[in-house]
Amino acid sequence: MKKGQTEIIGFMVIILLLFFGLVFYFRFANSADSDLTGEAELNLEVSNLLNVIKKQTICEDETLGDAIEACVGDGFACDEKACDIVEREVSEIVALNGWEEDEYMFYIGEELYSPNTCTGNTLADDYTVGGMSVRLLICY
Amino acid sequence: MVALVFIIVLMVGLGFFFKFQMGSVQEKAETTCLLSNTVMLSSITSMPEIQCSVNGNREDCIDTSKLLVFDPSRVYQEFFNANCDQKVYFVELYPEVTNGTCTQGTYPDCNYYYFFETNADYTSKVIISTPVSLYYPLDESYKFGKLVIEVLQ
Repeated sequence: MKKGQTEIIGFMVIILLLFFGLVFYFRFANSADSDLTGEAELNLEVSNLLNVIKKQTICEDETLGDAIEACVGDGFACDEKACDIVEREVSEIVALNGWEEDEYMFYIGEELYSPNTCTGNTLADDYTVGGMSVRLLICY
Repeated sequence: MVALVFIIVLMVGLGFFFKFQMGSVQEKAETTCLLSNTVMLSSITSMPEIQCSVNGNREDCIDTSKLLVFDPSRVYQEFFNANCDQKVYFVELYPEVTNGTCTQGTYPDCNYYYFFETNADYTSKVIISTPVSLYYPLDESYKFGKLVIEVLQ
């Protein structure tokens, strides 16, 4: 084989390697988008779930939001200690939403009203009532 | 001889390239479809036809009495079919659940509100959902439910 022919084959191999390199690059670049979609969905879920918690009717004319407000002042709701209702109802709603006990945290001020704490990346939403911040966080 | 080898290797290379490209385009289409449906989760809950309102002010909840009578396929057919086919429904989860599809005859003793469905053939589906507060004007109560979109592929 002549020297010129060997160089052409070498050049061809380089071009093909570049080809495959680009194909793999675009494949990996695409996979980053799907993570972003998942995070956007989770963000929406946290925000909507906190809204559901706030609005949920727990007895006649009283919502879980009212119970959370009463809990801030250590009061009562639906003839029961408000903080007990908050702890029970929040864990019920969150469980029905499909989250495990060690996947979320629910805070009123600095007080934790969920069974466990969790670690890792978190997404959160909050609102303020009676000067206290009510926060729902999910770990993922 | 060299030219023949060159052409064969080039054809194999192009074959692989187009195979990857096809896969990539298909994956991109599925991602776009999933992304548009994730956006749809948010936009459906904000539709004025089904959203709660008190004295003209909108609230973050779904009025089940509006849900019962509103047919989105008459107004939003293009909105739903823009990127891919899907099945959309609301389901009540808590506190009391009486299983069954909601119609004017069964309401409010039911838990499944059909919203939109396309008659399409599909081999698999991806389910995405988001929590919603369902409002019952008869007893002025709010119940926990979910908006579910089954993305058909």
